[in-house]
Amino acid sequence: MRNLLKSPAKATGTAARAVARVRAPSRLRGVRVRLVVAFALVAVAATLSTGALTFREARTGVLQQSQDAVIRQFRDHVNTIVADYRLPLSSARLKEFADDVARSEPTQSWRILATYRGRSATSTPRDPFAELTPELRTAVATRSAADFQRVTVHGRPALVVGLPVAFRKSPGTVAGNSGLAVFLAISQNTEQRSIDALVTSVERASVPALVLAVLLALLAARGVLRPVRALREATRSIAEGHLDTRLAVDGSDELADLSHTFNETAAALEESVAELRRMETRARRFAADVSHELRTPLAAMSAVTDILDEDAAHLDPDTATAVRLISQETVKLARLVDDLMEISRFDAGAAQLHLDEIDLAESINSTLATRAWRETVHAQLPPPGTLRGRLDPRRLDVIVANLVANALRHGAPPVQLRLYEYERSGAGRWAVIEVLDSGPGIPADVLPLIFDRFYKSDAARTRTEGSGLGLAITTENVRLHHGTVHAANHPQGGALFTVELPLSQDGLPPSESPDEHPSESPRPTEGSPLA
Amino acid sequence: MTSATPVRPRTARLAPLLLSAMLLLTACGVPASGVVPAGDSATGIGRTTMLYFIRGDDLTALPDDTASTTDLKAALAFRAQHAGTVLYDVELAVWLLAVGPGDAVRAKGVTSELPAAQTWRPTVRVAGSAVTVELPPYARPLTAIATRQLLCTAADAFLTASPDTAPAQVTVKVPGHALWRADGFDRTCS
Amino acid sequence: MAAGNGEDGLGRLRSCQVDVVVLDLMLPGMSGLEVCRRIRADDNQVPIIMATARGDDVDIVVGLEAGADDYVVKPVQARVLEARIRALLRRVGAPSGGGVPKTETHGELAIDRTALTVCREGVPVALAPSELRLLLTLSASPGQVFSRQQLLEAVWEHNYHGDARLVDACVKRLRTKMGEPPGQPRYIHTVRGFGYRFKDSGQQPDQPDRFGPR
Repeated sequence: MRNLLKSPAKATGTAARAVARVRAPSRLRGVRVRLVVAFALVAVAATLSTGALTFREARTGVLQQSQDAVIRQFRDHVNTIVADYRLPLSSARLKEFADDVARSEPTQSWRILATYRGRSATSTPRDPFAELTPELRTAVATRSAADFQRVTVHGRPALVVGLPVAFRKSPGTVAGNSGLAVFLAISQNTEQRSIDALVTSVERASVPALVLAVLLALLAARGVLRPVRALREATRSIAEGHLDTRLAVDGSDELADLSHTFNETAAALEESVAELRRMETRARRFAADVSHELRTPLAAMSAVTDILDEDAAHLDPDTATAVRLISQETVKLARLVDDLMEISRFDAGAAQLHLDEIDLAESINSTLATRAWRETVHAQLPPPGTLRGRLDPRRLDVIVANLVANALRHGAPPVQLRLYEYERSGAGRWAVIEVLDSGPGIPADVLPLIFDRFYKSDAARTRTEGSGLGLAITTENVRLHHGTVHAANHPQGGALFTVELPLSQDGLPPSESPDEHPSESPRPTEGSPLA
Repeated sequence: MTSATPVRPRTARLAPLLLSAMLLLTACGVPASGVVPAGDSATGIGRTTMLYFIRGDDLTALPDDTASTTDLKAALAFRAQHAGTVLYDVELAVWLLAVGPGDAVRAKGVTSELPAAQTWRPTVRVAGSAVTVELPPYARPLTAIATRQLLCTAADAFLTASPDTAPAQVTVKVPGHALWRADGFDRTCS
Repeated sequence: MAAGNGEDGLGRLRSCQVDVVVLDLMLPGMSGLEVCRRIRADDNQVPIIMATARGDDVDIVVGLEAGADDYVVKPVQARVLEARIRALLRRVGAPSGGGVPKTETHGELAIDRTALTVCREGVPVALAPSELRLLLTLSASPGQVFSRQQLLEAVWEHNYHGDARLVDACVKRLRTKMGEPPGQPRYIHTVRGFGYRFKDSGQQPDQPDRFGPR
């Protein structure tokens, strides 16, 4: 929660990243593409099916018309011609008959086959008359009615009409089938061309339909996508921390409803975040105020216990013990209050980095020397003057002191400290401080918790010297430098703490401290070789 | 996200429709068809009765107006109303044949070996495709060619009149002599 | 000796000689800064320790520039204050370099380490204890660069990680007292990124530095 309020961008940045991750793959499968595809498919399907059905009807009509005309004409001509013939017909007469019928058609496009009693004659010499199927032959022979059939021979369509001839109706005789049958084969090429023209026109009709469908789809998509995009932008804006983002509610459809809901949610979120922030500010101020107020009585207590400490030797043993106890506890209390004040300052964002160009090896040496840790800590440091950087010396001291103190107290001596520099690609020069103790290491389940406030590693050792805030303060100090701190267990035993600090704050967000003293501003007449 | 799945069902739903439309279209051009009734048959062909006389040594078929008399037709027409047209045609053919060639063709050398019958007629019976011709008793038997004359005439008349039936089986009976039986119209007739 | 407000204190100061002044910045009536300035106007050499409520108060810098030698953060523990006072008194009293009178001349500057006096063109310059100690430390090794942290340890006896602003403010006061206009340092030079160095750059050509480029 603290992180959320302090930097909503950072915490909900994961939400923004999640949004971004989802956005990319759906480009190809987006609403617009789906709509276009769907509209196009529907248009094409509708056009084609309508076209197909219409085409079928048209085709039937075209064919029907031509075939009716042909059959009627055929029958009429045969009726006329047959009057001049009397059964039985010889082969010669049969041929004459076939020729007569064929000639009766002015366009000469008829091919005639006449059959009588097993004999047949064709109008075209040596015409195999392949169009005549056995089915038609049988049908004409068995029924005394005309029949027709469409066949395709050698890929060419043809119409075959079979016409049996009945006897003349004369008084006393029933007009029955005379056994003479005439077959007509006529090509359907013209009809084929008309039908093909129909097909082409149907196919061509689908193109404008498709174009129209795509246009409509794009229009519809735009209508849908615009509010969706607005919603997406608004959501991203909220994820980045601008909790006052609102959408314009346009119209009264589902999208407008969604916008309305979004606005309500955003308002509620904004309100609750503001409330939480207020509560947290109050809590922090309270903590800061309390710590501050405690300092005055503590100062008095410290003063008194200092005096008592000096005279403790002259008191009886019991009183002396009591005095020393009070003294120690007062010191601890003072340290705790100091730590609390420090933490409050971090929380309030009031902590500032006072940068100075220092030699890190010298600084660490001084830290160790001040606290008389030279014996128990083996320091591997680069030679003085080789590793310099812009850091806050006081905070560096606090960091190193805390880590080494923890190593000595919770780990075990000897403690190894290592300082070195490395170049981070794209991020400049960084310093690494490693503190390794020879203790049992940190249990794995505890490892993520040690940087928490008031976390004490050993519950049994409640009377430790520390306030429980040491690592928390160290973390804050490191963070202020834009560095990192990391705890792990060394494979050969012991706990290893690694602090990485950038050696220059260039390119990093400023920590709002004009730490340069006016007298230090660069002057060209300075005799410095480092212009 | 579930954007992938909706697209597939949508195409899946439309695909069969599209396919059927395509299929409809591909069955274009002029389609073949089965045999379709197309109305009435032609009418108007006439009939002639062919009589098989002899010219030289061979049978020759001549139309019935070469018979010596034609008022038979009227008499037979009356009978035909009760007996059926096939019998009429066969009877007419046989009787005309029995009458013999007319003077016009006789002058051209057409003869008949059937004994001329002025006062009697052969009896013709038709049953399905079996035709029986019974002649009156003769003094002498029929010659082969005379029999052929009878057979061909009867068979041809039968075939002309009823082309749908099986070819006639013609039997010629002459009492007092043997029974001749033969199939009908065949190549020996013409 | 304690005074409740500024005027009282100033009055008492004039009447009797004190070794150290502990001055609270937040006083009723006249502000602590004003008191500090007045004290310095009268007497440039009495040690002054400021007591301030917050360690990162901007007033500290102003107070240091006004003439305070050191500062403590309230509420101050007795032993801390005691240590500071002792250090300050050491600055005042301790001569460096034995009992042999030694006057060094650097251009127009004459420094007597035994008598702890500084004269510029023959005129004595009244320096506060911190300023004097600073000048003595720097001039003891002319040309050598001292980092601020080293100066904190040497002059103020704070630890290495003390407040570097003490050094900066003191240097600024020193320069003013030695008549160096800002922008034209004569004796005390800033080595950017390293610290300060004492060198007479008056009429002498630039000498090579002891500390080479980084």
